[in-house]
Amino acid sequence: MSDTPGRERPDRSSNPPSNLGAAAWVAVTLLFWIAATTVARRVLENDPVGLLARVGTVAVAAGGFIAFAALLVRFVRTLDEFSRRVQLMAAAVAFIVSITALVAADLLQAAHLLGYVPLDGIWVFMLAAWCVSQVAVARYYR
Amino acid sequence: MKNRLRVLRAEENWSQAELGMRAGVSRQAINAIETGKYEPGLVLAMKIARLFGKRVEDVFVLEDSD
Repeated sequence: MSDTPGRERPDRSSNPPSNLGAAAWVAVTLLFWIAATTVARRVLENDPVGLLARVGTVAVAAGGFIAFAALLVRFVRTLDEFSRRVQLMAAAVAFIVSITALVAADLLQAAHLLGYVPLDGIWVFMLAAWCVSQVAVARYYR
Repeated sequence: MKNRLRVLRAEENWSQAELGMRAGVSRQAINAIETGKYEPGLVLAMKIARLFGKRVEDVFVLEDSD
């Protein structure tokens, strides 16, 4: 085996596979999750009488999120190593921002400087933080 | 870690997008490597070196500070 490898000229047909299909599925499940959560909230606000109905409604909404998260992981695994790094850093930044915001909100409430914060606002904030983090990390590497 | 990617790419007259396509990564990945913001993994480093017909250490140079 030679120390210096021969030059490799891969043909252009060996392009990296397109991630559009996987990304589309992630978008579809994200929309499903948002829709399922919205519908579940409406249903639960009407106080369905049966325990099964209430648990089932919550399970459908939570299942929507699990489907979204699972497909998101599959999508990230199709990316090249650099894009995976960007996703990892974006998730880390979003996590830190979300935790910081939650702790700050908790303390602000304790200090009577902030009113009631609804729980459903938290996951919307986390989703927004994740999107903004992706843009920020991508810009950092530009 | 320094690298000679930009020079080698210029010698071959390859764009960042073309090198990325040949190495199976995005143009942004090549740009991040060239600017030193991202250090590639072993597999990608070996792929890139092979594309230029070089050894990994001819493309990527470990510095004392690394």
